[in-house]
Amino acid sequence: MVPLLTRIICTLTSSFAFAIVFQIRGKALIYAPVGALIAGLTIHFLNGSVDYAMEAFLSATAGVTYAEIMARVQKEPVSAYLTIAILPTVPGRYLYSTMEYFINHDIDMFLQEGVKTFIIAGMIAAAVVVVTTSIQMTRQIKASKRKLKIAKMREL
Amino acid sequence: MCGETENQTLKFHNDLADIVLHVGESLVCNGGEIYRAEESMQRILRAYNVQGDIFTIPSCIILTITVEHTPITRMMRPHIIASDFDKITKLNALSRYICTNTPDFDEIYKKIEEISSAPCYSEKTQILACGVGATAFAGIFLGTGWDCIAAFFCGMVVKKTMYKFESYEVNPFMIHAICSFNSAILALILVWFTPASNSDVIITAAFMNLVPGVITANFMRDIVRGDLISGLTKLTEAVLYSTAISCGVAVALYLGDIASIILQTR
Repeated sequence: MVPLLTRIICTLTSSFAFAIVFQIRGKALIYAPVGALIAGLTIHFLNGSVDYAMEAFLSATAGVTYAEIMARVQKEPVSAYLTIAILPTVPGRYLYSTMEYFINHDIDMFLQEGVKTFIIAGMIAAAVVVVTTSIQMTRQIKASKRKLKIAKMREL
Repeated sequence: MCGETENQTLKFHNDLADIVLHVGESLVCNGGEIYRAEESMQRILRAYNVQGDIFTIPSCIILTITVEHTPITRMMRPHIIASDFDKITKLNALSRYICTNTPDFDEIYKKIEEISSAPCYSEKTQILACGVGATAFAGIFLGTGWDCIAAFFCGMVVKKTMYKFESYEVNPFMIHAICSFNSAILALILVWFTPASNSDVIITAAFMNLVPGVITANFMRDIVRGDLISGLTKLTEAVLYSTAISCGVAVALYLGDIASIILQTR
């Protein structure tokens, strides 16, 4: 298990560095790494209590929620925040072990790890779908409620 | 007289088509989502009270405006350069500004010019950032201090190789394979000759720079908006990039195995 302090420092540093690679400038350069930190801390506090798929889903959901909210607050495209926020969840390590098993001619483990890699990528996509759709739905519901209110006011 | 006004409307619509296409192209080229590009273009058209249809996929933008039974069509093949979120943010702000203020076209051209010539982080800064990112990832993957230092150099090699081969116009899949190959070879060499011991940590940390995170995050957003073709194109891209990265590292590890066997037999 990674110590908490190491996790915080490394997550912030790596996401800040990646933000520079993706040419993020201005306030987003400070705000975007916080999303990665939230996702990283989710992984840390889950501490292996759920399986890898659920862990990926929950941490991605935490990161994506932050990214969506931050993008709405800052009125900026969400993709910058989103890309940084999912960094701790990206299955880089599984991709490596998949290939390592392939080289060692361990086809069973190769398939197992390969499927894990795909599942984690799928979980990130699922988190994006769930969060984006629910935020859109809340906006729609709010808008329709506002319309109803206006209609009622007119009736009165 | 009538012909003159007709000419003027035609000129107006032609200019508008050019501008809209320019904005869309810049968005797609800088790695923006496809639905964002399409929506921005549609909104700008609507702001100028023009009806038009737009079709966008990652490799093609088609735009048609019909003016009094005369169609004006533009087609463009954008070439995706890199993910530049700063430019996307600015272009997004620009299209909001166009929609609310409907400024004249010269002003828009000037603003687009300003955005495309806006400062971006230099090559050296990015190479350094890649190194720092790899170092931090080595820390998360529980590497030792020496592993982190080795990862720093491997991360820098990834970006340096990428710049080198991009200037030779090699195709992106091959670039990913070569980058991961180079960094893995360097990692193996460093593990042999320095106290750094975990080649897996170093290689994984270095190739986090290459893993297509942007695409993984964004392809689903296109699919959710109903843009299946763009989403699937990007998904395929992500899978192929991952395969290319794995192949690069695999070849490097094979070579490493062979080298160690030769050294042992001597």
